[in-house]
Amino acid sequence: MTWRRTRLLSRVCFGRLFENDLFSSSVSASSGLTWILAALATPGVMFSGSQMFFYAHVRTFAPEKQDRILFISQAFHVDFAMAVAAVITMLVWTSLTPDRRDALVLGPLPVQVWEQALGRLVALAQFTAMFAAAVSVPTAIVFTFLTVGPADVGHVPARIAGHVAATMLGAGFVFFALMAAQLLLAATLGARAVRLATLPLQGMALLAMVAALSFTTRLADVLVAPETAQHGWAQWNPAAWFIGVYRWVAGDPREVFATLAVRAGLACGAVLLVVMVACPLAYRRCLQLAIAGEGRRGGWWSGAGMRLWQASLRMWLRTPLERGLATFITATLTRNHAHRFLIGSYAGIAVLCALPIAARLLGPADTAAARYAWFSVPLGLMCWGAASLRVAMMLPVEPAANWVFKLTEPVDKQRVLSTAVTVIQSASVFPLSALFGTGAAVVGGVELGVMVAGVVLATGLALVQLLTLTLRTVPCTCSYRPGQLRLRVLWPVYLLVWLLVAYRLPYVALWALGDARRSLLLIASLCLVAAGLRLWRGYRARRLAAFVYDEVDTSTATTMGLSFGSS
Amino acid sequence: MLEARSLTKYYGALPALRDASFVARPGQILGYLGPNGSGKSTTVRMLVGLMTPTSGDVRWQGRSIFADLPAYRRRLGYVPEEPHLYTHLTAPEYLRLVGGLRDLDEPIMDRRIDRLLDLLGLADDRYSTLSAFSKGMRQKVLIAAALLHDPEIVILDEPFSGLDIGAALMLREVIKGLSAAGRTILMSSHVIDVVEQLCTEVVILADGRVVAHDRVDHLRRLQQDASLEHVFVKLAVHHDVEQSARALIEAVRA
Repeated sequence: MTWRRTRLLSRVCFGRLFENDLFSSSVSASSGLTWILAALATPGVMFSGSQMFFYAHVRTFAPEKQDRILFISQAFHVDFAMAVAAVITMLVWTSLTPDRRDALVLGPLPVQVWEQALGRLVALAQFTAMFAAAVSVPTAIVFTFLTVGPADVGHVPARIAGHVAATMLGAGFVFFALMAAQLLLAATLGARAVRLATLPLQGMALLAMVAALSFTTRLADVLVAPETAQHGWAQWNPAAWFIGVYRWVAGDPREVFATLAVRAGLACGAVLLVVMVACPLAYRRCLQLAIAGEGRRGGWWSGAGMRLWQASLRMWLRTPLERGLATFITATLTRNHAHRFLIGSYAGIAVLCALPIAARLLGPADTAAARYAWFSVPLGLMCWGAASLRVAMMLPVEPAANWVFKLTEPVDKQRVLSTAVTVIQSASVFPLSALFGTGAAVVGGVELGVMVAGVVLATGLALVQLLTLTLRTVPCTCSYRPGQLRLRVLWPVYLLVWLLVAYRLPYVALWALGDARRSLLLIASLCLVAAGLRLWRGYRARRLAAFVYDEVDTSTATTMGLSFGSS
Repeated sequence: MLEARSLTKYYGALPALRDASFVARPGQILGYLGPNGSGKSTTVRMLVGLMTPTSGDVRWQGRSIFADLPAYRRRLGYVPEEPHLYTHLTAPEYLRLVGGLRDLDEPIMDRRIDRLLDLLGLADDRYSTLSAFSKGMRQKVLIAAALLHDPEIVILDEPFSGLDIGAALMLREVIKGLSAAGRTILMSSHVIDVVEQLCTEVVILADGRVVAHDRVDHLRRLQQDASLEHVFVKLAVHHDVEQSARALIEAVRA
């Protein structure tokens, strides 16, 4: 009978993995899943497709470079699969350990704790396998067929197997390693420690992800050369282990890959062992705490931080409506895991994009290249920061609680939308302009500092107005399906704006620097654009009859075949 | 016979329940009353085995339930105070999950589920996920889940919460019927009228202590009051209700 129970529990746990901050209750699991699987399968396939002619060119005209090019692409696919696994783990972070609902639903039933833990483990394994397969299998087929020449057709099955094995094992390793960390924390220190560790762990996962993708080429270069493949750092790099699996399964006879593959196997075995041992212990502890109510959150520092933030917002927000709404938006963006992770991801991308020129900030600011960096870096960071807040505001929070806003829907829509604008500006534009303005003043003189602060501020004001032109509701109250996000249609525009703002505008700023008339003209022009966009946004807000809450009828069940029993 | 022996529970240094002892016998409906924060839910959770007492014990047929919790839970039907359900499931799916975890025979389980859903007026909503259910409908699902395996012990924590009048009247008769069939029933509720009509004995809690445990008619006689409500107010409510209401209205107007 244990198997029947495990099967039932794994199905219900599997369904619960989709009950997180990213999936609102009004979005059916199968619908959301389809979008996500498609989104995961696409980048690898698109990347391979985009390199199709390049691969053919290298194969025909520069065969001596083919191994290196293949190596880089294979390393990218392995890194990408591992990065996706990290993102998915972080998004379902709160669903990994049992919560109060599990305790109250399953607690009174005659089910042993280890049976519950086993059911959850099986569900987690299915979940990981599904996402890893989405990332791995379509790309394996497309990539392999695009990169084999007529002479290598016989190697196609081995190469596909290598790709699938490496990417799925890599994704599984990341997923279970993060899970092991969480379970160990829960088993030893309790669920509260898991909550406290969420942000640092998310940050570390993000950094590891950025680092892995940044060093893909370097790692491939180290591994492709026999004399450097034995380097210590490559031997202890998890991505290298799974690249080893790739090459070893694909039939590469070099011994170093067999060694790396063995390490990959051992690493996977080790994290699985930790998960299997820690899971029942963590499960038992979390269940007990869920019932006893370990609900205290935050410390005096978080309360003090929030009060300081609210005090700074008071300068801009005059009415109780605006202040209350700003508190709601801020609390949501800072306390909800999905929102924090999304903002953190954008911050990671922003840092990654700024890295190539950020080093110039550390040197003297008397060269054009350094001054360019003083404009470009904050402008780029600001673009990604403002965009992250804007997109995070469209993530669903608790659609069932939207009735509060419907019941008290303010007549003055413009005021609500302006509050969202103020929050975005206060969290991204103002601090960045102040920080980089001060830094530039210290390093390059007052004139450069004022100019940097002015340009960043004026550009930020305009940019946030542009980003919020399509805002039609109270932030964080929507229950959008991932594919219904209105922002997606504007992405090309936003990317274009980012490229212009971060990489072209600094040239204009350099042209204006040192000339008071030009400087005033530039900043006044940017302010004029901001004012124009603000008027346009206000005009659109005035025409808005009612906010959009975008509710989806959920009367019909779509349960991904999660039916129980004989039916 | 379900017996609570000197049950005590501390949350850290905070006492939630102190030295609570009472007995629920087969064929009896034991009412469990107390103001908010008096320790009712804590007691119920310990009786269900969701929580271990700091000291004291819960005994079923003379044996501690904590010695073999799964065996005890096989005999137990529990309707929790909070309607926690897996809302991505439909009502039949949820009930099949519960029945499956209780190792019920599938054909019997399916027949019972169909019958229970019909009787509770949920048959038309069998294809809706529980996320679309109202509070009352969820409560009906919880009641069905608690009774699905014909339990020997039934523990009901605010079972009438959210139920419409018809369903509440039916549940009242169900509880009486189960009691007549020799089941042991403990019911925690704030609806004193219902407790007065249904329960043979009541336990009244205040500030984490049992302040009364007796037959309803005996309590009324002892306190020289016409209703259980007055007895309850005398024993468990330590503030002037009217004065508090006036203060609340003033606070809103201020």
